[in-house]
Amino acid sequence: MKAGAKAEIDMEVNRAKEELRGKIAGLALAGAEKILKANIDEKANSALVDDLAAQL
Amino acid sequence: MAELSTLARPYAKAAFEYAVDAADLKSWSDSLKAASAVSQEEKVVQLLGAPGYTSEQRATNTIEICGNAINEKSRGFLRVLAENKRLGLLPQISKQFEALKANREKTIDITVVSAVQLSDVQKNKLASALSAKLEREVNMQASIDVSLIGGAVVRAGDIVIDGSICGKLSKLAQVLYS
Amino acid sequence: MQQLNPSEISEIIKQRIDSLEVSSEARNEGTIVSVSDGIIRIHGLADVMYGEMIEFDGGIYGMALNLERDSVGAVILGDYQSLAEGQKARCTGRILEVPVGPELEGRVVDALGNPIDGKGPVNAKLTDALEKVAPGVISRQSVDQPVQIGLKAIDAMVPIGRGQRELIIGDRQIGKTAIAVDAIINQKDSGIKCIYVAIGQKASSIAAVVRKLEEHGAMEHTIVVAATASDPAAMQFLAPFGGCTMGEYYRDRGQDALIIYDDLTKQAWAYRQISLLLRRPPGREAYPGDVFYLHARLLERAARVNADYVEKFTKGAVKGKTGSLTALPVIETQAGDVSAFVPTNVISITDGQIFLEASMFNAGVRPAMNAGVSVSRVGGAAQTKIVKKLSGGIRTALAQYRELAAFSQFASDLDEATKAQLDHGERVTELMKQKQYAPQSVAEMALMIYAADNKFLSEVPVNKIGDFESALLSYMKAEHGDLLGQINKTGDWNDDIQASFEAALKKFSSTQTW
Repeated sequence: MKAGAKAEIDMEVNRAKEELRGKIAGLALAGAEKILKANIDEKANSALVDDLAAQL
Repeated sequence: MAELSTLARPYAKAAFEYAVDAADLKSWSDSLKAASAVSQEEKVVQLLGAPGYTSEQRATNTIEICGNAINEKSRGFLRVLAENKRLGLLPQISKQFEALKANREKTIDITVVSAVQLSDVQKNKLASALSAKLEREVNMQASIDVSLIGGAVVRAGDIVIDGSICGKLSKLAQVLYS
Repeated sequence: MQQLNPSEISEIIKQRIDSLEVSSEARNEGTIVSVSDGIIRIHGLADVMYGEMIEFDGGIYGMALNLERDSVGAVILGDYQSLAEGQKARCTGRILEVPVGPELEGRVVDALGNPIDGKGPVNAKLTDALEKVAPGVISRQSVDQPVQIGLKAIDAMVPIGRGQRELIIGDRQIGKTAIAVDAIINQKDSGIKCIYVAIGQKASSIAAVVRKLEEHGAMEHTIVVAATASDPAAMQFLAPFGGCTMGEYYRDRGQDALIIYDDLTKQAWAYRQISLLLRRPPGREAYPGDVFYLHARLLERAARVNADYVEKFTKGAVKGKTGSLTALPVIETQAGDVSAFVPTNVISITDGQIFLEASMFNAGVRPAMNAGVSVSRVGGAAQTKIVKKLSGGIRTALAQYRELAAFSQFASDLDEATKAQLDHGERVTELMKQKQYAPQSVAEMALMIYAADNKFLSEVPVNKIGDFESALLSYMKAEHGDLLGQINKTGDWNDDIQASFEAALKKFSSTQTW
């Protein structure tokens, strides 16, 4: 009985961890997108484009 | 049900080889583009679809509508298409003809989409890098898409090179969510 | 009460971010032309390779299986509800891989190695391709070490060796999975890692098997790969290859592994479904033309490799040890028809078969193995010395019994010799019955076979043989435990052991306590 209950608790904990991880990842990405949108300037952009050209 | 492009390929190849032999690529290319545009007009679509006409009549009517936009030999080509009931394939045939022509002339059309307007220097840099990589002359078409946030995306036929921030963010998302 | 540890979560995220590569490589892109029944047709993708992973919007993956002139046909590995015509599809340049390694032991995973037992991520350090080429002729070594299944009927008459492929074939509900589970349970102390691949089974059946393995402490050395009946056909088709790759991890490093494919009939059905939807021409019984290749390339990877191969593979880390992967594929027949297409294919590929019969099952003989038709092409080379010496008599006794079985109706009119043979055969048949989840060690088996051979059973009424056996075994464990232990360790047979057996059996028979 106890073993079964413990296994269930473990499963719940794992599921909660997975959900949390997903939510945190989502928040981090949304934050990154916003920051980048606001902060990308001429220089950074041309650096990116030059990078791209170099990698081709 | 075979694919349209499979059906169109033999015609496009034949037209191309004929044009190469006659050293007439440009005029054939223009003719096919014109014929393709005509065949997509609503009235013409109706004409081609209506059951009452013979293939002769369809051919003659289509050629009449095209008028001077097509060269002499293309008229024969259109007749052959009409005989085999393949006038509807003209858009596909034109597309494949262009591809064969571009291949022969060693040119390629690429599109560059960037978040902000690129300077001419940058455009030339990209063009020359791509030229070297693809071993072709590059015809660049630039456009703007703010949602990329930064960087640029280069498309050349099937190949896509994603150097944009939006693309990198989605890669990050994949890695985090997997 | 377990605390939720936040740093664990942030660790995982940090690791993932570290592993991200930010360079932009050139990728091929195509457009989805049609989505139907788990098959996607894509226009474009000029540089795609056969079997390459294709990525769709939303992180869904597919596998390119049909490379045609103007389109690519791909099977989806996952849920295709969100895909629509006109969306983009990208090449990834990778072929399908599964995680491999000891981190998988004790876990239940799906066909691609994703955990489905709710015990957290697998965290395997290595991954390996699903499709691999089998070891060549030079790398192999002949099979001469036994895999103890723990069932008297099998270990005595159809012994299986490490690196062999032995088919378990029979109708539905006849005990095929039971043999497989007993084999896994018996590997607790043998050092053989087990992989159970469940293809197209009910999720409840797989759960029952996992529970039974946990009960008997067998999950610690077992990996369960599950592609249930509701999983897409592509997953059911790929699951055996994934399991095989996980087994090859052990084989290539000088260890032994046992893999059970339960069952390959359903994998053939899944492959048939995919092939028909990809418009490949159907052949016999509507199977595609390469269904033999499907099973052959899977089963050829189960082999015994020599020490040179292991040394080369591990770059000198493991010397002098051979590795093996033993395969027990299961095939379900319809109404005992072994001459159908897929059964004949797999019979010709494997090194022997264990044929389970419905009539024997219904008569109460379980495991319902037909000893006459079942064969192991490795045979005695894979038996311990003691069992090899003793089991010859069993096979002949059963063969003679089968010959005379028709005459058992006229038992009263027969001569003494024939009657004796019939009696003996009846007792041996009764002895070969065994309960589920009760595998026996080499010593116990040897003892029982010795008892049968030397007429210690002739005084015991047939219906009491089961009781005789359990009483004898508990007596031996109590009085002669070290003798049994010694036999289990060495597998030897000599006059001393024979004498000990004689003495012990005589003493036990005289007590009449069963």
